[in-house]
Amino acid sequence: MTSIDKEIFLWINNGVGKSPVLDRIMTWLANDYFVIVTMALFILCIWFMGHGREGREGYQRAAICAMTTIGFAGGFVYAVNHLYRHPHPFNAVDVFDPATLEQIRQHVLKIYYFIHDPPFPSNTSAVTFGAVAGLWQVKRKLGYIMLVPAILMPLAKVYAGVYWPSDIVAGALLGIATSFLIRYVVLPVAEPVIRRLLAACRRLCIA
Amino acid sequence: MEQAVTRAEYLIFVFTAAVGVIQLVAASTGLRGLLILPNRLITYAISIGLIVFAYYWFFVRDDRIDTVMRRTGLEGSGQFYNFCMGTFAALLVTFALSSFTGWLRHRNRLKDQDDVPEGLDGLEKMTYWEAVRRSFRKRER
Repeated sequence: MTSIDKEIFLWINNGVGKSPVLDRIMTWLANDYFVIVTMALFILCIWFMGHGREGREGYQRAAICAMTTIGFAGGFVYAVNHLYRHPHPFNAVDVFDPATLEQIRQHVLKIYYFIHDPPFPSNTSAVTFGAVAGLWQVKRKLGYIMLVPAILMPLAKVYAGVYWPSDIVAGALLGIATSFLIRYVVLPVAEPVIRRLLAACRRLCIA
Repeated sequence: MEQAVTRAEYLIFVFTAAVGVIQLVAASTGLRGLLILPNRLITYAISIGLIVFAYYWFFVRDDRIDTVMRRTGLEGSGQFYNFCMGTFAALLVTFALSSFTGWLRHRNRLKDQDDVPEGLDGLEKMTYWEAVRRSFRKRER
């Protein structure tokens, strides 16, 4: 663990307990369901947006790009988790002295819980940034709207003490890189399938 | 501490919120065929109410965000699968209810079949059931 990672982590994590309002907001943002379901419902909303065949298709392609990116990013995180591992901040006995470690554990209990998923790269960050970048590739404005929760959720997990800053940066880079792979490699190759899928959905009046 | 979030709770949450979102977006984009109620203002109120209720029921009641959600519940893949199931169920229920209430109202029926746009756009003028029926009839001809 680099010292800069440790310094940034402690700077963010030391905010716990100083403001009950901020702690409450971070509890919501770090929650496993709140931001993720809200983003997924937003993508569902995007599917029905637009007017006319071409207008709707643009939004639907953005939703397809985002969903495909999320799926692939999740797979890449799983693969990297098997190649490299380091402990969560609340288990980093080699990095922190016992008193600091105990304080971090108290912070985790205050905001979140002790997760079991490997921290590097952050799957939360990969999924949220993957969704944002996937939308951004096709519809820039939608990407910008989703950027706020995509940044705040992983940040809340650093605040809670379950991720290192480098974990969320790595997850974000993985999610963004995956979106480029999907936009410029996977989707062009899968274009005939997507065209058929959209045609079938149009026939069923759901696209 | 109580048990973790269950699959059934998550499904109910997603289903309720998804019905609200579909109604909200249908009202705002003019997809009248998807509206369960004919009045757009009432639809806005009810759909926002459904979304707020779903979030309240899932996160806030019994202080769940500080109890059952402080431990591993559904894993990522489980969340994704159940989200798809809940959303699919919400779509089916919306199609069925909006088609039924549209049929009860006897509105939105178009006499000129060639004038009907394909896909979701058709739902601006008719119910889901009518739009699908016309879509398949068109192919047969």
